[in-house]
Amino acid sequence: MTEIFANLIFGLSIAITPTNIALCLIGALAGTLVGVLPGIGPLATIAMLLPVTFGLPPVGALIMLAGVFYGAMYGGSTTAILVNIPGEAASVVTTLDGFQMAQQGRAGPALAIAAIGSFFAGCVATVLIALLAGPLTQFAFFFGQAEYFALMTLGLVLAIVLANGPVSKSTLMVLAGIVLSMVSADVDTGQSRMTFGKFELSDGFGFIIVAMGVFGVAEIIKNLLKPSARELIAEKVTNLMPTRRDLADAAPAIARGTILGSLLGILPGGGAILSSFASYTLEKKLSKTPERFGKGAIEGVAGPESANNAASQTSFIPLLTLGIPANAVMALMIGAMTLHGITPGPQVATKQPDLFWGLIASMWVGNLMLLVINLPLIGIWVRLLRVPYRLLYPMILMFCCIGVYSLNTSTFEIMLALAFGLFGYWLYKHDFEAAPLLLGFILGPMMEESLRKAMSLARGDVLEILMRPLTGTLLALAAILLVAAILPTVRKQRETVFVE
Amino acid sequence: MDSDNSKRLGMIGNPRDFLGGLGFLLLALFVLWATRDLPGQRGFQLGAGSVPRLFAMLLALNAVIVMALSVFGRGPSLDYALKPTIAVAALIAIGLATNHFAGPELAVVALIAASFAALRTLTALNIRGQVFIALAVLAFAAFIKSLGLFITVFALVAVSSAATKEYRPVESLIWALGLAVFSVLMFTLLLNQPISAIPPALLGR
Repeated sequence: MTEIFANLIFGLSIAITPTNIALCLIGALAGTLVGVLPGIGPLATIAMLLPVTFGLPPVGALIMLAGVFYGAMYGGSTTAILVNIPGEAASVVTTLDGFQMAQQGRAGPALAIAAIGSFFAGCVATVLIALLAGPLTQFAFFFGQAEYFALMTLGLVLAIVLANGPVSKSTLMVLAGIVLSMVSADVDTGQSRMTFGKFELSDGFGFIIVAMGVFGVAEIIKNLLKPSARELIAEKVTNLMPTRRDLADAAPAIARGTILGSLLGILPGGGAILSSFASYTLEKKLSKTPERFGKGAIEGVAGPESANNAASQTSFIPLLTLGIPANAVMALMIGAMTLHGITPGPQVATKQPDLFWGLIASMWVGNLMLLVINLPLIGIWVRLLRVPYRLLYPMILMFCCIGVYSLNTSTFEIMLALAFGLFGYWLYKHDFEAAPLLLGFILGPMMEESLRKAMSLARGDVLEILMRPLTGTLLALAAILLVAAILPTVRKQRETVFVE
Repeated sequence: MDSDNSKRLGMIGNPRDFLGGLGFLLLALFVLWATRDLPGQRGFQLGAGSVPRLFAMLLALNAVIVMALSVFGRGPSLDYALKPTIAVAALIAIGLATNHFAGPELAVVALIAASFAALRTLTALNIRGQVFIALAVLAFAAFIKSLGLFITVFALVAVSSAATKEYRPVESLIWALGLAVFSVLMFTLLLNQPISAIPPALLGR
């Protein structure tokens, strides 16, 4: 226990250096900004900011990028409450009761509870990461290549099972992501695979390019097809203070949302989005007066907002301890670490304790900043909401293009990003969700590497791999989960979580 | 490129999924074809082609399952209409032809001119957004090396602004100018990115 405390203090000493504080603030501000603005999410933003971080030390770069992610969770609630549009996918459920509260003239308390809940959840999640990081890292050292392969398979299956939409289509997305990631020079032999003589492809499609295309360009095309009516309910937010009654109602919901979000965040797949839906369902079920939900129940804001923030932070746990991304944003973080010369995995904690603990401690610092950014400064964000989309999207497109170009000053890569943008739009037209694709895309090469190493260690004997106790268990678990998700009863359950 | 007055696709209950699955089936088959020459498993070593082929086969199988389910499923109808396809094909033809004779910069200029001239048609065919966004990115790719960041960003913003039905020409030009100035200040001066602000030819390079 004292060790963890000492580690956190050590981390804090790194997180509060002037540079890192500044970077954390930039990340939190950028996160709030994209959280508030509908039509651009943390994924595209992190992809856009990545090239900018090249000149920074790795610790600072990761602190900033992490801030974007959890910052977006704060910002998303503002738009959900004031405009009835989720600024962020994870704040969809907040629109239900948050907007109702705003219509009843209680926008202030709704915003305050969302921010306080998020802050509480963020603090708890930070401690949880610190607590779990040590033991899990130790555990990870028992993992051989075969176990890693099995763990990643289980992770992908969980991501599929917890994703929104039919299982068959999410599996398709993951597999397509893996297949697309195979375009590159072979790691072992250097043989080019599906590069068609293009030397630009010998490192594969850059994950920034894929992310920027599918989540940047495609998102813009998608949004242009929707009507853009935005109605601000409250021109000025006054009286932020929640009443005593509000606090009493919200406190248990915040606590439950934090626990639920923390647990679901660690699991691959759903993360922030799933946990906010699950928390809303839970609050409604536990409530003595479920009929208030959808009509401005403060628990319906407090629970989900705490849950999504907790989940966004605990999803760092598998990344930091095992080097395995739990969702698409974490997949980008893996890419960011690799770009900065860090091999993600259990060795990060021992080899780069400054990065490991600095990042964890920065989350607490970031949450504190976000509380200030989102409550007293709420007026600024409300004003930003009035910027029409017709001015916003050309700017987003500009950042996307410059971001891609500054990677390698390659015009070919810009065309590639455009191609992935059109591909992403095609996916949307056919109702495929793109996030599992990015997860598969990042995990593909990692899985191939461990599978091939495991195979040669086992002298090509597939049975020997399957008979390893941990590997066998993990793979069996993956198979059971996948089969279970297809069963009609479970399928119905899955659907109801997302239907409200 | 779908139109609202679409018909059902024969006896298939969910054409949206069917065509989606078909797309991925084709991708999988393409990958299997493209990796045919890569070595597979030798002894107990997996070769460069083993894992891509394994996942491509799983992808093909999965795509067939999605297609099979779509036959019995129910879903919104969707089909690929002819008119928008012709319009896009025409634009691509213009682009390729001018690119061949006059180079990428003029090809993009020709495309921009053609698209603005056909603004009404593109709006009516519901492909205005897609075309102008794609065109803006193409313009960026074509201009950035030879014309520098300022002109490129101006073009990108001016062209992409026309993607929405709320397009306001004068406002968009002012905004384009503003963002062009901003991008030069931010990326070449502040962040020191390796992008020239003005046409490199003017610098004698």
